Amino acid sequence: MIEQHIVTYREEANELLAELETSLLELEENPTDEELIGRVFRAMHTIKGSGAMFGFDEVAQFTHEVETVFDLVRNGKMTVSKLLLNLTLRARDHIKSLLDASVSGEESDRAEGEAVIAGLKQLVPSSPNEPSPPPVQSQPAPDAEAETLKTWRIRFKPCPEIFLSGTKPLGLINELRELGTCHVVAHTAGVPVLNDMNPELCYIYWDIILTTARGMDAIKDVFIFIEDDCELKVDLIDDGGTGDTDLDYKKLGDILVERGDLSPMEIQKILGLQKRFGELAVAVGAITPDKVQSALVEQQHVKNVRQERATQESTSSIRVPAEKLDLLVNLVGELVTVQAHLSQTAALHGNTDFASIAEEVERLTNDLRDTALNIRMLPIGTTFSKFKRLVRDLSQELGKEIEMETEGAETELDKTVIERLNDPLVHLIRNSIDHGIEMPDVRLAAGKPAQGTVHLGAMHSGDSVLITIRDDGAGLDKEAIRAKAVERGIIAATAELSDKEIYNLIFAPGFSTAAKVTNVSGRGVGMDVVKKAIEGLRGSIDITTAQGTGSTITLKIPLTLAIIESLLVRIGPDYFVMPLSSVEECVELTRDNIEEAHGRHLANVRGAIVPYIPLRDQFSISANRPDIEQIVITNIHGTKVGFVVDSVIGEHQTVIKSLGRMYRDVRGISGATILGDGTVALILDMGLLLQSAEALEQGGVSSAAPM
Amino acid sequence: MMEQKACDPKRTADASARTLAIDGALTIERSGEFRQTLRDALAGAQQVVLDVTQVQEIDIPGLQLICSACKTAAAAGKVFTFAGHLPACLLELKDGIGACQNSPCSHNGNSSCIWFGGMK
Amino acid sequence: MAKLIMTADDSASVRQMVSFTLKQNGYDVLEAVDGKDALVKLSSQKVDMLITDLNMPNVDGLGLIRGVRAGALNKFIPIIMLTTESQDGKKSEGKAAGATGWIVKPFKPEQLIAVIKKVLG
Repeated sequence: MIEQHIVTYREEANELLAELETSLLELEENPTDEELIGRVFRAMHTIKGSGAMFGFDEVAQFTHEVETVFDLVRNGKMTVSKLLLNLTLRARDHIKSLLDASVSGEESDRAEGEAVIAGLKQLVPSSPNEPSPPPVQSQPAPDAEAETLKTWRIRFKPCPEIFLSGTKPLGLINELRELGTCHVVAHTAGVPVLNDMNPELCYIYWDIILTTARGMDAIKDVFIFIEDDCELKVDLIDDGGTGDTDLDYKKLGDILVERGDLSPMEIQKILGLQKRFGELAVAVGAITPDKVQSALVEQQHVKNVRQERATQESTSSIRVPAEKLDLLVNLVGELVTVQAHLSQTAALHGNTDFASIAEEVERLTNDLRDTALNIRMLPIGTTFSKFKRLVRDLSQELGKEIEMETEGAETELDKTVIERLNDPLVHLIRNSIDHGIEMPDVRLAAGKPAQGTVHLGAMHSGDSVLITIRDDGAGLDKEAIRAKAVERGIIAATAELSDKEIYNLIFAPGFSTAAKVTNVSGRGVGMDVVKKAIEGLRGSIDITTAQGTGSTITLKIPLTLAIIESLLVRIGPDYFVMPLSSVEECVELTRDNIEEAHGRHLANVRGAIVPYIPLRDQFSISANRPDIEQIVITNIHGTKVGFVVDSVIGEHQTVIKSLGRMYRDVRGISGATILGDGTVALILDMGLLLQSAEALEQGGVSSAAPM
Repeated sequence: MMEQKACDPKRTADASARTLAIDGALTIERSGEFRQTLRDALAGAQQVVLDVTQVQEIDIPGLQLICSACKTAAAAGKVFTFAGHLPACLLELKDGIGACQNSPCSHNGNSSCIWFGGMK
Repeated sequence: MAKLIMTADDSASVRQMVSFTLKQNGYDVLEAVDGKDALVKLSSQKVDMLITDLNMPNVDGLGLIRGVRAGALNKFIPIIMLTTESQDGKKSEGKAAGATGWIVKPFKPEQLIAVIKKVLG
């Protein structure tokens, strides 16, 4: 496209050169013909001007020199001489050769050009020896002070005739808006009544409060075309420095004095009246209300700017490698362990001084632990925004129209948790798009908007975060799931299942309801993998659905993986901890109770029958069974189940240590922790314990199976 | 019937009101003509209702004239209101030049301007 | 509705470049080869803006600007003058004649569009 302009330019220049030659020859006959002189000047002017536009810099520069001489001739400061005409004709030939050289790519004869210019310069009478200025680029210089946000007060009072020159103040104001945050107040008090008005004049002026990183020059550039046609006052009213920590800005009276709207004397008089200043100033007739209003806008603007800055400063951050944080959290974990040891030792010694120091250390350690864990917290929003792209791409691929909404992007979770959530979330969202949201025509037929919605939300709930993936698609088809599960041999054809149990079948290994395998939901990887991953985070997954209106999958994820509140229990010589979040209560279990249940593992808790799992049997601990045992009643995915232990020791801050690769596959144990005295306690994975107990029951007596 | 406030937009159905309908471009090119129309209308009626719902384009001179007419009416103890709704182009211009920030009008007993203020 | 802008220039290449840039940015364009041609066209055609060269045969840029401001139909339109002179003299002469603003040649298409946006409001 630019190529095409260049071709046009060359043709045009050649025509102009031909015309120039004719004119020069005619001028030789009539050396005083102004019309001819004008034509010569214009020809060169156009060759120069357009040449510069299309990158013919050498042509433009050379022609400029010749044009300058003819400008003098045109203005009567020089006469046309034979010598001038000779030189100009040579110049014309040189321009032609420069143009031709630009086509052929050959070097032009620079010496000839210099000779012509030197000759022309000698002709110029009392030639002021300054070199002619090269064409100036009208680009505003970049602002030197483009860092801090400063606030300016601009009073822009155009001259009344401003409209007659085609100037549109709105355009200028909008240009200011592009520079930063802007409050504009138009003063219309000067608009007269109809009889006194010339409707083509401007009676309005403006106060503009602008917060921008660009400097004074950028502001003045906006008004460059009318700098002589308006009163422009630009004052710095907030320099963006951190010195002004005071959120309160100047008093209204001070602003009005600074603006020149009121004199200090008037202020004193008004203040003597002891009322609200703005109202008073208007009431005594010292000032029109619009001016007060405008000053109030300034006050508010600067206050907002300072507030924002204060928040920004407090949220300013430093970057730290993640490993350093992990190290810090590990050290804090060690410290928590040592602190527990210290507290225990102090309690043992019974020395009050020692005890109070231990208490102090405990308090500090807890604070330190919370702070350290907090540092690793990140808003989940970064992950959310990645999914927007995913949704967009997938819906295009499938020919569906899907919008993604997010909520609670600012919810914070431990960094490692967020990382490990990524894959499960991708899978769940893929599922919603692939299986959930219908094709647009199907949706329309069902009376739904063609565009489906996938809603991704996060919110805090106690020491967990709830993440929901909700779609307004078809929902789960109970019968289809059941049929598929039977077909896959996951359940027996005769199995009687509740709705919840049927929906939970989609988490069974090797289950897929998609009629055909698409690229989107992948192959082989099913919801079972998602469930495992979530449980690996000590989280849980739950699904609710209504056929025709959509499904919601809720993930409950603990805030952090490093330290948990837990309940410490003992069986024989061994200590175990249970995450406190799932513990509901503890009740006693006596030998009589066991006999009453006729050997079945059921306890009567205030009339409700609660199944329990004797951990002693589960872990084959052979030590003597106490007469009175404890049942820790827990709530696992909505199911009440008890775990029988010898005794409950109490709440415990548990620093989670992994068991290492050797014990990775041990079922029912998710990690270990070190107690104050150095003893190791195992962390129970209650969900898995429940599962294996269920599996055992199903193999034998079926009646006690929970769920 | 006479107890209404100076500029009450709800009282547009008043029988003594004279309605003035303007359409097209309310811009500087027509400002002289528009000024005369407003003057004539205000001279001949106690209440003038301006209908600008069909105005497609307005500029600062157009806005100034409306402001001026309102002041002229206030000075003469007359009522100057508008019919229906204000067109999008007027609302845009009013917000653009910051006329909305400046609602109290000293010509109108420092009350809120029904044209540029209060009518958010 | 696209805004209609007139470009008056005796240089076909500049006219072509301005025209091309304007159309690329969604404006409609009316071309005039010199000041006289422009005045004739503007007497019967309302435009939203005029971009004019200063040095043109027949009626030059200043004459064109004065003519437009003295007319009726396009009296209040923004007028941008193209000038190779970066001296204030030419600018103030143009301003006095009624120009809204100016742009100094050579300019890049982006600069032209920025100025147009500035004065069109």
